[in-house]
Amino acid sequence: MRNCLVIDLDRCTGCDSCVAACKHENNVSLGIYWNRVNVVGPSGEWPRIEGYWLPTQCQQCENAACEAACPTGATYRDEKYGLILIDKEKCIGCQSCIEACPFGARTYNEELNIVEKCTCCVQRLDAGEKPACVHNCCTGARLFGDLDDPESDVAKAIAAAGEENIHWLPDAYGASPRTCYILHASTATWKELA
Amino acid sequence: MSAQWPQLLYSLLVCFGSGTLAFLGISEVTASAHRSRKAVAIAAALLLLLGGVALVVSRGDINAVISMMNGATRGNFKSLAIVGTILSLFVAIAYTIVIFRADSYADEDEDADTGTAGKILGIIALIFGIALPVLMGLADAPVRVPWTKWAAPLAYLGNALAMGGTLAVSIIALGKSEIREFSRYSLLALVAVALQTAFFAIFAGNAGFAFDALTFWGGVVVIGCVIPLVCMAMAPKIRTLVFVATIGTVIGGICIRLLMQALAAGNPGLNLIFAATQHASLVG
Amino acid sequence: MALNTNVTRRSFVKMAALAGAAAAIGTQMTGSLIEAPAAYADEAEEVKVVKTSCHGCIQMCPALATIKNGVVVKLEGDPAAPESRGSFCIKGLNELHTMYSPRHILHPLKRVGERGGTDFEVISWDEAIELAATQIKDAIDKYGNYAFFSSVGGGGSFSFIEAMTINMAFGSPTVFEPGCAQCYLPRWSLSKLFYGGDDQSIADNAVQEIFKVEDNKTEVVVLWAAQPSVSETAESGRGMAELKAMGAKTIVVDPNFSPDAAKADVWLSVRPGTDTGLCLSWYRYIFENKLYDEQFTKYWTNLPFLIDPDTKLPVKAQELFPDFKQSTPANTPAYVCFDLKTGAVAPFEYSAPENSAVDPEIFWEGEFNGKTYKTAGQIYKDEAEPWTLEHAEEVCWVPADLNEEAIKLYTSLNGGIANGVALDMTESASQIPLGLMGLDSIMGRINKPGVTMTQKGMASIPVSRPITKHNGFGGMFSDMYGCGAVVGMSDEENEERAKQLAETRPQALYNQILYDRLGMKNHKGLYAWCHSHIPTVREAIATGEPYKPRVWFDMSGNKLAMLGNAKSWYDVFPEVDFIIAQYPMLTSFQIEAADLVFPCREWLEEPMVNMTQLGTQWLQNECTHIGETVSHGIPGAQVIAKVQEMYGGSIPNGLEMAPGVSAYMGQPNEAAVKKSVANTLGAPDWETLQANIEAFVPRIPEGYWQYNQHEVIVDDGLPAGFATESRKIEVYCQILIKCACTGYPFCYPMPQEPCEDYSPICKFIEPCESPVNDEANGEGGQYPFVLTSGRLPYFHHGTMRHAAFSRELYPIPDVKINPKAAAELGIEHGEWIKVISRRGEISGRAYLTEGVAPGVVWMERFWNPECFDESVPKENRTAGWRECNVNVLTKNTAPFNEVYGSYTNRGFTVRIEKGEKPANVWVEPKEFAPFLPTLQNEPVTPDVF
Repeated sequence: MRNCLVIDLDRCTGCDSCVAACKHENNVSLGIYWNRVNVVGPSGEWPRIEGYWLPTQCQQCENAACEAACPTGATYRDEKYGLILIDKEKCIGCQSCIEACPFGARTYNEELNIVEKCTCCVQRLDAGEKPACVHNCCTGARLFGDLDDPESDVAKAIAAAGEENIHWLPDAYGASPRTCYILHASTATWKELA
Repeated sequence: MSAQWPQLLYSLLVCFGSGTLAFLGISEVTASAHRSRKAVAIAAALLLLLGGVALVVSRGDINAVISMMNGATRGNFKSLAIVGTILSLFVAIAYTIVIFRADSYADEDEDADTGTAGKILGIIALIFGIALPVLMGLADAPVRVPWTKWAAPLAYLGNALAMGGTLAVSIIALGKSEIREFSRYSLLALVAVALQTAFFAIFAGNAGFAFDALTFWGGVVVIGCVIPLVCMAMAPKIRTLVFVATIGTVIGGICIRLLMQALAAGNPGLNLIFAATQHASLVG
Repeated sequence: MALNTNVTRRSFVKMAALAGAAAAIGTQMTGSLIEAPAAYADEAEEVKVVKTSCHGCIQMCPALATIKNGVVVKLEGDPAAPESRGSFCIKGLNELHTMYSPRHILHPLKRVGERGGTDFEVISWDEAIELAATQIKDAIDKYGNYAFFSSVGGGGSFSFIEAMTINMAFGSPTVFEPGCAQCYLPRWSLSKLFYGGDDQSIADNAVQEIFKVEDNKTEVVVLWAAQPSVSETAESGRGMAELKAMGAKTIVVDPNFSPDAAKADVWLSVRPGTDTGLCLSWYRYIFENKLYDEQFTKYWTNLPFLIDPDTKLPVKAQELFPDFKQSTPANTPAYVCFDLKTGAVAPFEYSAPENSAVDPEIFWEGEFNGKTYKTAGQIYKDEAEPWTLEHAEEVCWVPADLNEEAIKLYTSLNGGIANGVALDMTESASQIPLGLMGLDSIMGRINKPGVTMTQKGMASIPVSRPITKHNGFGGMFSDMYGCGAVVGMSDEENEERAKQLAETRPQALYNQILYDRLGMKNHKGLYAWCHSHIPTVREAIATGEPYKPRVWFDMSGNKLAMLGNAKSWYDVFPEVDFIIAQYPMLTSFQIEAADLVFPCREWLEEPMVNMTQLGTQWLQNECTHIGETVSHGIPGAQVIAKVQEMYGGSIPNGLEMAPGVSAYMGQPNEAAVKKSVANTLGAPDWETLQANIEAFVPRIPEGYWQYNQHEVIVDDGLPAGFATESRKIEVYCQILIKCACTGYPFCYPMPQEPCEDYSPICKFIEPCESPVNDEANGEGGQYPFVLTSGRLPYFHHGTMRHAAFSRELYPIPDVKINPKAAAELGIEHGEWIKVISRRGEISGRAYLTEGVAPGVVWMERFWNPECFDESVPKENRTAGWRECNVNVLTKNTAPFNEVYGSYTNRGFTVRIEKGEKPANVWVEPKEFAPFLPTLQNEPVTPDVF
């Protein structure tokens, strides 16, 4: 079971609905973000340019450095969905996980002295719903599901896109992020971020 | 990012204590420097205790520290370092008790016999004294700077032994009763400082010298290595230089940790959420 | 209509009257005057999910609201919606920050102290209505009916029909809306004049075909100055994403590299305001390469008609051939063409193409009876002739190869053009829709699967000769007041109709109102929405000529953020005796202008029927209700009723539908609002609807998708054709010639004074302030950038600036500037800069991007409600409209668009300098904490009226 978000960059128009949906659903404080939408480009020179948006959040890594780094066991892989989650009760705000995360997906909440990140809205999963960002996404760009289940939204989208159009964030530390991005060269060329 | 001082002091004091503990172990195992052992044991215990206090201060809550040990079973280095600190503190205290008791049974001018318990504790002290800085190095090594995974433990170990060694020599020097021991131990400490210098050099080589110049050249190289080396080399002639060497290695220890923090902060990985907050394009 | 006086209402009034004392904003204003109704007090936790619709923009996506003990705690898209499919944009999501915002006005407020201050006193609804009515009646008694004026627009609490009828109810011609001529009216109105059909706007739901879920035939869409992914993110933006995913191609014409441009197959980054030039280059290329649909153009457009060089009108067959007897009815004139069969000029009767006696030449110029005629097609061709791809590149900054690629894509695939609001905001506001609709017309892309210009629903299936009534939405005022000629009827039929209606309708009074409306002599197109010409209204307020508007009833939005050249309006506020401003939120306008504020319901509180989505209709539900807010139409009705009561019946010279029944189109109480909503959705009453929402929502119409209506043979034996005078698509918009002369078909039977001719085709006009004209006027280089603006997904018009979760993401306007241009000015990314036009200066942050041309800057409109936050010391507070508001820069002076009087909101010149952050403006996320919702604990209250 490898649940995660898969994001279709051919569709994403950077509207930030996912950010607000997440913040309302999870009651995230001002200045803290469990997900954000990055701008990549435009590259080239006016008027011959291209660009895309890169929504980011916890990548649900196979080898989650955050989990290894957490001294209290607050960061853990849950049994029900196989997701990396944070037990707020156990988190002591030491920020070891923030230091470990290769993608900057975690934020320290000073008020609560805990670290927060995307939970794929487990409370919604429990209710049989999709994560808020997926449900409300204005372009149908965000998908959630089990990569191992060929019938899941994510597996189908990946299969339809074809291998050459699937991309991952650069995995410099062998974290093996599950989240992948669909982008066809006809929309824009995938940029390897360093 | 500004320096995380409580966290740094925890790491420094614990390693300082560990190095001292290691030298305590050496003295017990080699049955030397009997008369300074009590003071060395107290120093190790105090340093480890202070380190523990710094840890609690850095977390602001004793319960947080307790829960930080949860990861020990999973092999989390931060957890192991805390467990190691506590165990080392126990060892130091236990040894202190043993040596005080032995002392009370011994005659005035006779070296106290710590017996089997002392021997076992001495061996443990040596092992812990070496292992704990290694663990601390692993705990402090920034995950996103992979080479620090082996270079940091080495640097911490070298530094711990240098700090502990020079402190032990300083205590011997203060005791004024073990002149012969002083020369033996200053040689040992010199070796520790030399080891530290070598490990720091390896560390610096990997870092590509991409450091804050004052902290590195001034703090780590000159004050942390060169001065202690010179001092320890000249210590047999000018005893008081061992105090300078001790202070030097401590400053070196502080500076290498500042560099470690800078390395962590300077390699945020793809901090994508932060990048988006800056309202700029990732690629122009 | 009697004032509703039920017991509940009275008890409110009593309690409200007890409060009284002067109050500062944010404190007493939100303090409840109403005791918590027992209903929710001791009840166990109740959570329900209710079907509703968003009203964060005009597309109104279906939504689901989770309501916990009467408090809305969650909003999300309704997955059952056919186009938005559960998508929900940031505007909709952040309604939770609006509904429960500390800025949500809950009670009627009366100003304390000078305008511009932030002190208001909470008063009762009775007092408020009485005060408004007294002010209006006194002004009418003292200065006449024309002293009253109304306005609307700015997003939120949309009250269009109410604003355009309340003035008439008080017998005044004056009403305006900052959108209107600058937003949609030109495109909407011209489509009616052009072919009597739906226009090319996606945002306004005219274009639906391209979003069809099943059997979608669209292969290409040209988004010309439109950005559905931004302006209508969850509905049309989702629609575009699905369309692209199906493989359709898009071409985007936009000076800004918008999200839609980023997804486009070809992006044409046109110089702001020069779209007509680019459009003409498409005509030239299509004509030259014979890419148009020749058969369709010959028989279904008026381009083959010979045009009289003197009148500019198409020549009727009888004019050149006195003996010609047309076989078609009088409502279907015969014109003249050059017949290729006979090689001679010949009468061209209306018929099905296959039954035509002639083979008309589209492009012809020649003599007949000693006079030189051109066909309308030839006139167009001549107009387009200079516009080679190279010339377009030089003038419009669009590289010839990209332009050619776009034209080829557009002409080779099935689809159509969708136009956008930017086109309404320049002097060319009428010329450009004519050009764009004309392109789809000559391509034969009308009423066909996959195109943008289609007519929907069973009502679009013709049974007789199609007609168009032009006054008001759907021509409703043509029938109600008996004014306005019906296009598609013969002159005789229209005369007869007018004569008959004069007997039963207040035709003379209404016609006089039309005649006297400010700015109408020159800009008669404004008649379509019964609106006044805004700069002329401002001038009248300032000078009293020809009459002075004195009492102002504004029905929504922040006028200071919305009106062009806001400062010029601010300057005339002292000339207005009394200003009423109804709105759910406190804005710059309430602070600077309002003497009295009526609290309106936020969309979560107000029952309504949504805009439709692919024809389906959805309920905007009353999910909760706090304070004493009312549905947007109610205050107007209540005030009118009070004035009527004061007069003891009818308002003298007020327009009425029947004695004592005012022309105002807004319900007097919530019960009436609810009944009307229920009935629209097919439910007998509100209670039945609420008891079983799923049974009535959505309401799905039969036969929504219809095609080729113009080919249907109708009762006169002819194909239906189009609802124009010629029964064809008037690509050469001949009715505009008549309109300029007399106001036909709007100002009828009593005509308006003539003005200069309106151009019946697309024509290039160099923007008044432009690098070219600035150079010619000896001001070259002083204002070296062309500024254009546009929307962002966070805001709709002036809305949502108080939404903390939007503002933390987009705290202040990014001014997009090309890196090369910025380098020359030494400006770096993220640096505060000043943007300065001939009208004023504002601040923003430089956003360096290749997404704009080196000579262009782009920004969002903006205003800053934090500037008058309680946390700002009183003496430092500002009303928040001067700091970052593009409308401080915009130009509201001549030249205007000839037909609609549109002024220049986009495509004028500015200069850029280094600047600094304005004092009261918030930037850091945590600064927005005072905007976080505070009203969740307000008791849920019953209806006020």
